[in-house]
Amino acid sequence: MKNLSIRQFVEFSFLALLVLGFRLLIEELIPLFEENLNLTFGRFLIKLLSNYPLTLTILVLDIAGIYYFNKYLKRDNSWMNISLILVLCLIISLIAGLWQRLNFWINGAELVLFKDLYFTLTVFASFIFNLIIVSLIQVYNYYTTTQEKALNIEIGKKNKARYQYQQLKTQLNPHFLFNSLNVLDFLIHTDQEKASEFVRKLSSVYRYLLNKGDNTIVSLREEIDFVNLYVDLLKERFSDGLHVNVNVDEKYMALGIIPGGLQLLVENATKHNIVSIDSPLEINIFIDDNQLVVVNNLQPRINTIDSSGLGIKNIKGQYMLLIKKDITINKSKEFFEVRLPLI
Amino acid sequence: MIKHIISKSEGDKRKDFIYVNSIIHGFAIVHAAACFSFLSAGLSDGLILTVLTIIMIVLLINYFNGTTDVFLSLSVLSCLAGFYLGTAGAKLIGEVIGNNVLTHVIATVLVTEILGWLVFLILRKRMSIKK
Repeated sequence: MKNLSIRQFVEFSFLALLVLGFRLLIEELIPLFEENLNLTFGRFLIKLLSNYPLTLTILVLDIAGIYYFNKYLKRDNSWMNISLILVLCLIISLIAGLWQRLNFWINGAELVLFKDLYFTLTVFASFIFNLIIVSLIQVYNYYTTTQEKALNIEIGKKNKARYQYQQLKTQLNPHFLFNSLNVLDFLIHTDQEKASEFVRKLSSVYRYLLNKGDNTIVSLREEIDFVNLYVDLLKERFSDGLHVNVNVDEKYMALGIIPGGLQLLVENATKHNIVSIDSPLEINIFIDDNQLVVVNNLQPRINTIDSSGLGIKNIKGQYMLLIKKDITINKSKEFFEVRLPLI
Repeated sequence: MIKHIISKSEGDKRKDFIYVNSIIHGFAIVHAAACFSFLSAGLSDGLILTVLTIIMIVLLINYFNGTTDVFLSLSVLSCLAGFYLGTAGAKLIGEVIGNNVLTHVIATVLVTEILGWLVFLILRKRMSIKK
């Protein structure tokens, strides 16, 4: 857990003292307006701002100043930025004071500056106005840039997840297509109606993988329908050697899952285990503790297909990126279980 | 306890919501208590309320990883807004409730809540992209 760093603590404390000082200054100076000018601070400020050319100049200088500071100064050098912004506010306030009083001094033939209370109060009032404008611009800048950053991070995550999905898709075992074509060849000669249905299911499987490429999450219903098609194709090959039991309550069907995640687990089970009528492979799919559980009896093949576990790694990676939750893998002598969090 | 108060957001929206609620409501209560104590003792509450507001903003900014310049901007704005909203709010509430201390306590609580939530709305990171 990251906490407040010492540097930040010192910075914030110093600035807090600065703001506190500013607050005290306001308290000290505000009564002067009423005592000397018979105007409240608010009314004085309104009167000052009713000089529209002056107000416009202040606003233009503030916006231009902040724009150039943000453009040319490094964002991480916050002290430099703060100091320059305060100097900018002070200069603009002095300009405002001179704007209001210069004519008066020229007529009186004396440049009295801060000895003139009206000048001092004008500088103070316009300094506060400048601070408000500059602070609002800074806060607006901060808000827009952080939201943009957050959005870019999200887009980056989505792109990464899409890339991983592409990787996952290429994981659909090429042997699957090869075996399916062999099964199809057999069916064409024995049962043409079944062959036609097989082709339809095979095309549906590939259509799903292509269509869902843009989605980072699909509903559990879509994924289970897809897996049912996939299992139907496998059953043509394995017949009664493969039992897949899907037992998912209707209320969970609208929840999300990464596309191809469930199919990959079923594919892995058939890839790494013996599947025969004598030793049937049983895959159970159900919900437990808001997780989709895929569990199969463990009967490893002797000549198991070489695997780097990339498929499972991709699923893990996608879950971490999307919801920052990991998948759970439990393995014993009898069974192999994977738990996918529902989204 | 202190470690929890000065912790930083880990992106969990539920945790963020709990933290922000505790900080803002907690500080509203502390503001109310301070305002009540100071006014009851016949002292000015302006300074202590400013200090408390700044501490609240520091905690929120630290939690959401805000920058130093945004801290200064928000502190200045909160200070001024707190000062004016507090004064104007107290006047408005005072017309309904006669009690001076109670009026200021209610105005302080309202202003702290408004400022706290405004700061939160500025600092939070909106995840607007659709899945």
